Amino acid sequence: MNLEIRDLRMRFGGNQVLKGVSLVVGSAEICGLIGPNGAGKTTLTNVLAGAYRPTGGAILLDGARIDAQPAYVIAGQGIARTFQIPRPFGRLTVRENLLVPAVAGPGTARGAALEERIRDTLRMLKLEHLASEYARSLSGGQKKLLELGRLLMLDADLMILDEPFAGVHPALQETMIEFIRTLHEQQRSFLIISHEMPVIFALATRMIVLADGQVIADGEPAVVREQPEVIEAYLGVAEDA
Amino acid sequence: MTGWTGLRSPATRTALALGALGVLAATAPFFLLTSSYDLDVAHQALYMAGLCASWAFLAGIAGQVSFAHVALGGIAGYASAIWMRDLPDAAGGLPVALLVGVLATTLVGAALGALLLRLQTVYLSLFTLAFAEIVTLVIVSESELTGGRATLQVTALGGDALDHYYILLVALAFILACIYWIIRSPLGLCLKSMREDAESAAAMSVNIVRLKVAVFVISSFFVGVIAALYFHTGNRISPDQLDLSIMALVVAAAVIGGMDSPLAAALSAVLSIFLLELLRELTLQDAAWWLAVAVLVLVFLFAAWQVVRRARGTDREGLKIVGINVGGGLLLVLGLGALGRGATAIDAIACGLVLGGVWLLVQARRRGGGRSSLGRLSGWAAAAAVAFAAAGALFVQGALTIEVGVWRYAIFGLILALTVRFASNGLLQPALERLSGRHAEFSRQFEAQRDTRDDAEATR
Repeated sequence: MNLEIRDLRMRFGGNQVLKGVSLVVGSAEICGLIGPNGAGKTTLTNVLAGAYRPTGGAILLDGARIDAQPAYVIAGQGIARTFQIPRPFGRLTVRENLLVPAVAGPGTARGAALEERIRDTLRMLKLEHLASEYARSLSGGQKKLLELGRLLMLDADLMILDEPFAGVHPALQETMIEFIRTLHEQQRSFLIISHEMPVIFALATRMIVLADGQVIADGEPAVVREQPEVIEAYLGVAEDA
Repeated sequence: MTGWTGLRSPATRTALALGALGVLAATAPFFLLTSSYDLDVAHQALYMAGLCASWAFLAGIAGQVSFAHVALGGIAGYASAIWMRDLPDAAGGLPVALLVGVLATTLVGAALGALLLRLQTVYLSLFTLAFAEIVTLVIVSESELTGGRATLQVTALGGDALDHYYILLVALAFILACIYWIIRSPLGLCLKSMREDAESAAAMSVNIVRLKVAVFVISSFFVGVIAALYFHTGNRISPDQLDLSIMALVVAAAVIGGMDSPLAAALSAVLSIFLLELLRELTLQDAAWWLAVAVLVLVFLFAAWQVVRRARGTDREGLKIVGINVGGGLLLVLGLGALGRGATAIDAIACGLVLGGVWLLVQARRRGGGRSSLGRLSGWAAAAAVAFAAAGALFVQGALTIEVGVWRYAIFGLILALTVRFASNGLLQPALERLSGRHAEFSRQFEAQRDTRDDAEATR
């Protein structure tokens, strides 16, 4: 899997939100995407997932342009996302929520093999006891876990996670981190938007900083953390500096 | 003992209930529907049941709330009637004409689905409402083809009224069987995901475009089947049979029966049609008034009973919220209970919050303690709270804002009452007129009081 974003631009009326974003996400990367509010992180997510059509630039997946494709086609090609505010299918059970991407996506598992996969996913996310509950009755953190499970059932190569750790209990955060690391070992990639600095810096193998619709830093977390423009735009200056 | 254990299985109970329903429907002409008038009403009831089942499939399962169903049914009736009138010697005769009706409705349904691709929620509904009116207008204005406002002669199906009853019954059974087969298939699951959240479904690789067209095609096909047959059980069709009040009855019956259950919607339609016929025969004004009141009281009692029944059957373990201060304030939540599926999220909380304070809400359990649930209930979105909560009351500044649990059923009762009022001009009309008269009287009193108060303030 190789996702290349070239000079991506997105405008809403007179508001230019993305001003020429270019970056490449390869296999088995955990990219942290950080930036101040209004930097364009969620817009970038929406454009990548096909929810918005960009007003300029190109997105290429393994060399083929996908920026004009609808969301369901992009999801079928292996780029899947979660939402900043979780949006599971409320009046479907947890199990049915996991079943939807499995039957709609490119996966071919059916019958007993599919049930086994659902059980494995539920076990991984520690949601087995809630399999028959309606998704709307889950807590906010559990809904975020369920969204992660749906990505796994879709068999996505690149998982775009929008604020997965926000407002989540530390124990659930641990489950999420474990989940991400396990899938990373299976050569899957992640693009994770987060404001939880300690968590994202510990988890990411690469950090991208977006400010005012542009990439201002891209590299190893330890290096990015020290860059003056990142400190100025987002992390802030230490009191003793 | 084994037999009793077997009966406890949901599958067995469902099979038995469906079997009993089938036997009742098949044998009804021998003890319930004994006159040609009864059978005529039964034809109408089965037609409405088909429309309701198909509408519940479209709106309740797939989330596409359309008001075009009756108009689509009219297209089937007119298409087959015109075919038989203009091509009486065409090969195939009436069966081909019926197929033409079904095909016309299905094609129009496909076009409608394609037109509606970019529309959602209320905009989609408004478009279908306009579409229904346009269909009626076209039928009325194209009088050379359709007969205009006058009735168009229809070639009746062979056999007598009893045969027609069984034909419609088989058609309804076919429609319901197809609907439930789809609901239980992967397609049904994807339809439900589209109903819940189209954008989220698309992010899960659900092909929303194809699905939306498909569901309109399928439901239009069902409408075509039942409508083409129904209109040929009589010998005439007219624009009156496409009236929006009939669509309102379809919606109300489906809502009361249960939009997520096409079978319940169909049963509700059958009961509504027979109930309307029964009510039509009663003419005593005062008796009608008191009967209407009694119906509404029963609806409220049913609501209260539902709340108690649900509360009793609920798991009450391990649900604790601590740390909420009890004190006088602007928001008072009394005895609110919010139910998840088989679990109580909030169990009988009483609390008050003072305006301007900052409150820390903690709970004994790590998660699932009910913090978010309480937030949703004590937020100011009354409609959402009504939809979510099961029982209790929410007071704001001492005034009762929501008495949850009851309104949900009261609204259903109101829909039923309004439906009966608009569909039949029968029993409930005098009662509702009296109600609206009282409402007008209250409004006049209120206006008078306000004018007096305004005058006094102006003088001061």
